[in-house]
Amino acid sequence: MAEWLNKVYAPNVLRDAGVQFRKEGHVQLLDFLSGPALKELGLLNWSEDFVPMKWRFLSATPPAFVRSQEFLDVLSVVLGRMRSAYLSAQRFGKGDYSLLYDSLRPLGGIAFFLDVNSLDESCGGYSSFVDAAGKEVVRVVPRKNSLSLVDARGLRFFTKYVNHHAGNDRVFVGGVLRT
Amino acid sequence: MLKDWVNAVYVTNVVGLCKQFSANRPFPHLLLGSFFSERVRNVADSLLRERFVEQNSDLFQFEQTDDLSKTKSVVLQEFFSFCNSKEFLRFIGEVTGSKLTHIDMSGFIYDDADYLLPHDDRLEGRKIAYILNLSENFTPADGGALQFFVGKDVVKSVPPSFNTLTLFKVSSSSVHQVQEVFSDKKRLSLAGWFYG
Repeated sequence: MAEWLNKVYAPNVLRDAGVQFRKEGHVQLLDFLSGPALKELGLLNWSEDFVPMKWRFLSATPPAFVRSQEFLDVLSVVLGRMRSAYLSAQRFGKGDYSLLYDSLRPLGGIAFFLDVNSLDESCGGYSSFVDAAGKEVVRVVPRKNSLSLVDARGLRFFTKYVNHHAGNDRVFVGGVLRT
Repeated sequence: MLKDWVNAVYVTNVVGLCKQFSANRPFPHLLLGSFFSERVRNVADSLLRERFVEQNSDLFQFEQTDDLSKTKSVVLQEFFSFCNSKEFLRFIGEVTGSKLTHIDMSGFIYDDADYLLPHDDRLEGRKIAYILNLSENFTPADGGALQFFVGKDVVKSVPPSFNTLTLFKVSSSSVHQVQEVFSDKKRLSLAGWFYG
């Protein structure tokens, strides 16, 4: 069993999550990480990433456990054999956002988010996945210590502007997984 | 008709306004306080009786009316007709150095936590963007300012002020935003574009 994983997520639980994912196209697993791993996500070295007509947030190098083969192996129990295409740690505080700018291409795989904190939808900070017509297909609302998986093939997503009512930042490690 | 609606100070200073528009940075623009006559108060009152619909996307969150060419309000019809008149289009065209053909216009309310993120307004036919602010008693702490960018930096911030008309030339450098409203005050405005 991976040390960074909450012990409740035995292989049969992960496989059940995979069934739900294939049925719904998305799934959110709560209390996903162990305590020390969750703490590690909160201790990254952040730097500003700001292109006004595209995005504004802080970014950091994801922790080693998310970049490990073991991490991919665990997600592969849910999704089938996967490889990682892109990884990023992002922090959205008040005033931060990402947009659906013209050159943003649809994702070509399964999007995942390891969220550190919960954030109420009314404060923004959620990830909205839209189809080619711009219609929202899936919305990932951040929940404390959750793994969210979205079948994002053909979809683009933006992170909703975080407004002044937000009590905390949205912090996550995200990426795209491909078969 | 121009002098019935527009402050005479501006009507008689086309050359000066034109020079100022071109010289202003980061991109050509004008901020014209007390622009319309007192009749604009009726416009503001009538606008508040229009139907506003919530608009929500990656780029913005606010409430907006239909294009006011469709309004049933006599006061707003009269104001819209004046803004679309040859006389007014020629006046704004001379001030901004553009040949203008028509205008569109919608009403906007930015409520608590509403915003419009950075963009440049470029779309076919848009020559001059305008915002007529109709909200009163905004302070910088209330937010809602129109802000101009150069690169990552806000280089000009225009807090909402009643009866101030802002005009700017639409181009790849006209990157601007409406700052989030940080209070329960309502930022009321009429805005749209002059086309050419």
